[in-house]
Amino acid sequence: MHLFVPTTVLLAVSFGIHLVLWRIAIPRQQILALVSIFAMAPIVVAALVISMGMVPSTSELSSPSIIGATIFYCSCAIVYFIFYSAIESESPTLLIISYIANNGDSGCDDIELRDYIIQRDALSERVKSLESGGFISTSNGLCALTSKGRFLAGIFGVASRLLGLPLGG
Amino acid sequence: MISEWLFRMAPVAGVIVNTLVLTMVAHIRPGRIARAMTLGVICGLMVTVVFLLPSSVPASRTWGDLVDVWCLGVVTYVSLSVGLWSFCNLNITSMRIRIIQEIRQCGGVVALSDLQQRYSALERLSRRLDRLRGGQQLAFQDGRWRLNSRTLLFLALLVAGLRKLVMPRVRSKIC
Repeated sequence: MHLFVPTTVLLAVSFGIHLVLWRIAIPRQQILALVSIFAMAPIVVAALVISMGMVPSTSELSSPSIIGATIFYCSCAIVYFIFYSAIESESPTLLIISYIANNGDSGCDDIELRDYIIQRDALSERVKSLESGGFISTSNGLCALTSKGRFLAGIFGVASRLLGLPLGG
Repeated sequence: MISEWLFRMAPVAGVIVNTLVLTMVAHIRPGRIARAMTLGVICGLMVTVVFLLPSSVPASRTWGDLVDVWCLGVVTYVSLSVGLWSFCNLNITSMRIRIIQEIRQCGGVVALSDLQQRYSALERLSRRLDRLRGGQQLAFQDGRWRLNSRTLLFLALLVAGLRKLVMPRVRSKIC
């Protein structure tokens, strides 16, 4: 059974639902809402297909095919989630590139660039985003890691040790 | 059936090899993470292709079957590799990851004012400018920063376009 086109259509359906919902209202926990949409859409579509009696035969729909299509769907959804994090909050790197590009061939000097970037309070925006995602909590000017935040910090700590990376940012 | 498992799992085998090669090269040659990532992607792609090859053998397969298997396999491998690349990149460039790592290094709690000192706007800017200059994206000549490549500008425009599509009511600040 051909899987590439139906799974791509399923991805397009999930993306369409996400677009429609975002035009109605942008959720507070955007990534969580996005993951929920992409997880629920295949279940709803499968239920619709079954209820309409359009079920492929079991010989066509083997376990390897289902797993292959699931991995394809999940990996493409993950790529979109990654892109979405750049859509959700502005990337400082892309801001620098856009600012220099907007200045044309003359470019810009250090002071202009510094003033432009520093006036945008990117750190506070990220702190708010981490707080709304439940990774940190803030009170009385203090930021504290939640258990979810500790877990995430642990994963990235292990990865940076494995790959020998210094503190990034 | 076994061969079907083989080519359906091809992208997973590819990304496992990609991760192993990336980790090994990063250990053998520390500080050359970009090279390690590139080598990992190439080795993983080769493994994916080797796993996909048996799908082309049975004569009973039509061209449609072959295109389906190869598209699914290669696109899945590319998507998984983008995910792995982004995970590694987050360690290097993400502000959010740096913030949670700073808080962890301070014992789990830090004052916001301390955080702003430990990870200042100037440091954020200089790290990015160093990376962009090192990656040949920007050039610094006669005291002025200029674009050296349009690759990231294209990405910035793509993200700005997607933002307009997804969040039409949120004013795009890029370009």
